[in-house]
Amino acid sequence: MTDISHAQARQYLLAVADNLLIEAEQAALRTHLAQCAECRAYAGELDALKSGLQAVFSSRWDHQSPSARQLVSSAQAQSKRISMHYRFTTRARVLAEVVIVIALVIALNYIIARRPQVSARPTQVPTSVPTHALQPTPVSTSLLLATSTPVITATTTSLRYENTTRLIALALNTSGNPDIYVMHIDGSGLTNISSDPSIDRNPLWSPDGKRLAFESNRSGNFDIYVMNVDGSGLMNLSKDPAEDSLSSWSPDSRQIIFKSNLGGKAAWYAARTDAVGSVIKLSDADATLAQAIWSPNGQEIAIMENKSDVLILRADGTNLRVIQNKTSPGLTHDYGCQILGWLPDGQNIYTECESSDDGGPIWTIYQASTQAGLTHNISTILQLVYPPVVQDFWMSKDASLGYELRDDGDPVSLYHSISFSLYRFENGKSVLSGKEIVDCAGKGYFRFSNESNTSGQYLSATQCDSANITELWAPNLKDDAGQVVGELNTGLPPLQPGSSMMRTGSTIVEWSQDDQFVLVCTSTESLAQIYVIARDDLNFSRGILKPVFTSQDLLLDYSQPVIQPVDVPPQPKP
Amino acid sequence: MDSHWLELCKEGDTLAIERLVCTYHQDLYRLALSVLDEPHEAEDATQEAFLVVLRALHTFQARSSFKTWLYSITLNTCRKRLQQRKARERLQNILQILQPLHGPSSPEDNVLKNELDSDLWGAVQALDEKHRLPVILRYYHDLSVAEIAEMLAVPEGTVHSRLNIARARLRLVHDEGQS
Repeated sequence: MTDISHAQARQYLLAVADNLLIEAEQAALRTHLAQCAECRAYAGELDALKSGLQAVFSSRWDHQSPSARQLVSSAQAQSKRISMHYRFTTRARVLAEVVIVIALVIALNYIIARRPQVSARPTQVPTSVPTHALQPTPVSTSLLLATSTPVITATTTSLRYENTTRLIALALNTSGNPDIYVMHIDGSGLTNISSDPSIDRNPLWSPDGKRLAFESNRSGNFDIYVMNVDGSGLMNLSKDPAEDSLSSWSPDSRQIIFKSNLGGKAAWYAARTDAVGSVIKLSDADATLAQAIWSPNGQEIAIMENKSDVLILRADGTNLRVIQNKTSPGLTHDYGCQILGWLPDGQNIYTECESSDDGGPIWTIYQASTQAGLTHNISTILQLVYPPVVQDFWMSKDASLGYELRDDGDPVSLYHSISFSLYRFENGKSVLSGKEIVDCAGKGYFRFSNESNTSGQYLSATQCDSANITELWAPNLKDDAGQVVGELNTGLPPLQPGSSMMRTGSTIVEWSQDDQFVLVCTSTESLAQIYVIARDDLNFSRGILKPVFTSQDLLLDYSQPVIQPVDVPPQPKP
Repeated sequence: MDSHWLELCKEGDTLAIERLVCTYHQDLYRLALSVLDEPHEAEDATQEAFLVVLRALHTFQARSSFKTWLYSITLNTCRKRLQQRKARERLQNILQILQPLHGPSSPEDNVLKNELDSDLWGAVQALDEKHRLPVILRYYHDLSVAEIAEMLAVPEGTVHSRLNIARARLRLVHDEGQS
């Protein structure tokens, strides 16, 4: 067994802390620790932190729990009520079904009796739902879908939506179980399109905007499903006894990548979206810590796994090659890597790895060739050293890189007024392209979310501790401080002086795939809200914004609302 | 708890319900307390979680661990309560409630150790929810990354990554306190 580097040893120690290290890596780590006092010290620090945390938690929470006696009687009474309710609803359902069947028979007889005998031409049975229900119409003229449920209120807004027909897909828990809904971008026409007693979640639009993929456990475990915009054409693509999670559509909307723990080990799979049972396994390696990204032409997939290894393979699972792994010359990756994206030529990718030395973290961006025969052809593009702290990296459509720095460099002080700097990396140089200086008069702030679109346009959601308004910031260089482009009245109250620094709400910023709209979801206490802002509206301040949709049932935690990526024109009627 | 007992619970069998509650009550209370950090609210959340469990029992498919399923429901109940809880003065309460640790150390050592614990606790509280919950579930409830991922409905890689970020932040405070 060859020895490993200090950086690898630290990465392994972090994996040990989470019981993620395989046996061979454990052996390599033991060998390294026997020779390296520095890494032993690091291991000791992690152990000390673990002991410290356990002591703190234990001293706070290891008290005698209250008696379960009262809870037992309450649960027993509740269980009896549930049992009786279940029996009652079962009988009521059977009765209702009988009544509906009788009513349908009567209605059918009535229609047949009144039907005029005008033509000898054979009738054609419709094989699909009406076209107007499949395709969105301009939101200013008519509703696409049926009426909304009474617990939800939708409002109109003065922002510009009139030229779009696109929809928002979201998962809502209005009837005790989450279903997939769609509505117009202005919040109107909310419709349940996946009504089912099981959990339906994580809707994901196809790039052509015509279909939705989602996860559902209606078969007993989570499988990957696709359906049309109106809920028709439902197909279970994965159909296996394992837990599957959705990853991405291919650029041509013909395939879906998902992760499944079939056989007890998470791995990547691909399925065609036009046929059931066309699943192929993409990678045998453990996909637990992994991402999979399609090439621009949709013919190949880049997979990151084992925290630093990059595999390239064709979408049919063939021509697999490893282009980056732990032995790649010059690669440092203590804290793991991520794929930033493919270059437009489809021949190279950018990866970003975080490592550390005694001075703190180091962020490095590498370019790796994806061509067969050029494995481990990796070069360093950009390296940033702490301080300051890199908040985020992104890659624009033209393959230029962008990154945001928090200028103070202190990763612990999350609650002070701080400035952020936005850079664009062009022709080997970093160019300052924006600033955001959050001034909360020394009272502290919380930055909920920050997100760049694929053109490098940046937006963040921030609230001063003493304020009751969340601000949307767009960094710029015009006034050297950035600009507040919108204010959200989320109802999140100001923090009282001396209170805990914990916020009980959240705000998430999400760009549409084509960068035309930004969707902002806020959640506080029992209220969730959705705001939609057109890109052009971010050039100046809009003041207090109106939400397009409010609900007590929006699932923000693990199922983000998503905007249809493109305008889909209405189809001509057959 | 085997499937036979769960079937009895679904049918409303009082003995089975009692066994269900007694088996998991303490675990769920500890989980609720560690998330909510308030005994009375944790007790209410535990009761609420059990009632949700009883209502949802007929949908449990037994393909995943029953305990993980229970934890997920309790965690969701607590997170909902966290969302509903208004921001209030807690830092002072936290400082008052912190119990002195036992041990044969000198009073000076106790002061230093309590300061370190207090700093560490403050740093844990300063983490946002997505980083704080994995730390509590990993280091207090000793749950695996896979179990935490299932409860929080995020990929395992995300849990590991969040734990690494949280550890990096907490280690700064902890190392500084020790030195």
